[in-house]
Amino acid sequence: MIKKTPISKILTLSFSFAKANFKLRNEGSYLGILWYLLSPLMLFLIILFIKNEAFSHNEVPYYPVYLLIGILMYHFFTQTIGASINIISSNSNFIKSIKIPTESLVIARVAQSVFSHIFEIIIILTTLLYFHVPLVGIVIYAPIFLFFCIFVLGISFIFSTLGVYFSDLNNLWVVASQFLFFITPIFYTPIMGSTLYLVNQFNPLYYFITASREMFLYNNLPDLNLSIIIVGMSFATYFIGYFIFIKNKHNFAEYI
Amino acid sequence: MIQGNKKIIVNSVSKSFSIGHKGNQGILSKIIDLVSGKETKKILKVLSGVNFEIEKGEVVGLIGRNGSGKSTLMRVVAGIYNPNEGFVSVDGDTMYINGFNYGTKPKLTMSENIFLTGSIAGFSKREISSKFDDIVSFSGLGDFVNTKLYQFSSGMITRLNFSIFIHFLPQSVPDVLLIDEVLGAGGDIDFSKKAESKINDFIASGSTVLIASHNLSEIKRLCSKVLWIDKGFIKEFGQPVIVIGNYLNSHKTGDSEVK
Repeated sequence: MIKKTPISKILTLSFSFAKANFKLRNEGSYLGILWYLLSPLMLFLIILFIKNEAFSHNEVPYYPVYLLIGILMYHFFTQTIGASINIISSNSNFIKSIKIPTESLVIARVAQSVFSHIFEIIIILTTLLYFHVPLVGIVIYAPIFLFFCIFVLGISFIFSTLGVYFSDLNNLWVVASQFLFFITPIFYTPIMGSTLYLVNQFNPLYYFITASREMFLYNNLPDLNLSIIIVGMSFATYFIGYFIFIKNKHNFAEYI
Repeated sequence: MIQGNKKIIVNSVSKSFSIGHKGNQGILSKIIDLVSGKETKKILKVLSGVNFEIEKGEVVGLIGRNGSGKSTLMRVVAGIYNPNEGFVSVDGDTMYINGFNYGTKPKLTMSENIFLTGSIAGFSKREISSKFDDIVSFSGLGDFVNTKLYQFSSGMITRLNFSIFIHFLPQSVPDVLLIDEVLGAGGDIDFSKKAESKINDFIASGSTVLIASHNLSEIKRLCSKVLWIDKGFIKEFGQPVIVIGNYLNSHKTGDSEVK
């Protein structure tokens, strides 16, 4: 009785949603992408300034690049999840009028963030050039980012489902993302064996950021352990998230 | 599951919604309710044991008071809601037309909206371009192609929505067409006539149609059968003249009971 929607149709639909959202976002200001970049860049400058003023020595080589990679990956993550919480209820018109594959709304939101992240990568490249770090890292960043996207997509599926049932989830997410900012080694390096280090063993963001820094800064491929963790975690999260979403999507029209 | 000419089979379908007086609850209030043991939920049964069959090519009108379950029934048939009990089987492509505020975005222009909805309906960019002029001329809004939708009047939006829908049906003739309170809503007389003649075309070419409307004369003119639904139960299903007559009578007696 229930017809399956072919993947190609879901992807085409995702693409049109992403395009429409992008237009909506930039409505009235062609500098829309700058607004997206403003907050992480300000954060970057402030932390850099404080670090230079308050602490005399920088133990991390190329600290600005180290910091920037952390901030931008964190920003990509929290922005996408924060937006996907409301993605179903803000499209209630569509969902209540036609039977569309709702997963394309979530995919479109992630795709939109990926597009914005391209501009963030350009900024990282500029800083790499400025600090004379070899640019080869960008080539190996692509696969890591691909897995990061799969991971984010999985989490987005979970949060977009929860967002339908709990209308105030975005308030909690604001607090959670602040907590995440300090717990994740974005502007510091955790000391091996410390409590913070142990806590981060359970923080998915830590693995992705660590692997990206290894590539950009030291042009090292991540070791086997790290690679297995990243690949496994991405796919596991994606499948769990997709499963939760599919199990619940028939109820969405009633709750929004 | 479908035998013979049956296009739509609705078999003892029930649908309930749980409604709390707080509406959409947040995490905090859910936890408080759980701790205090107060159950704020209330079950509202919108459809109870609805049974009917519609044959291929039939045009059926759906009447009933506000809140009697017409739209819910439409959405269950369209597959937007899943029934709690019973089953619905619909043979072929289904199109649900809901007059107001269909997913057009107010901050996009008319042409951008046409392209967006077109791709939601599953058309390629080239196919949309080929239909673009037809949509604009059918809606009669040719002067406003590059105007953003929030500056449209509600009647204009209804016209645009209807035109978009008519042209973006999955096939030129859908197998099953569900029309929810679109007739006479928002459009002026000229446009209503245009819309009605378009629906007549669909009927002539063999679509099975279910129309919900409060416009009884329109129902009488278009439909071969009428389904009267009251508080989630089917009250009557049969000849338009008879069912509409009884429906009107019930209003009179209902009023006198209140007095």
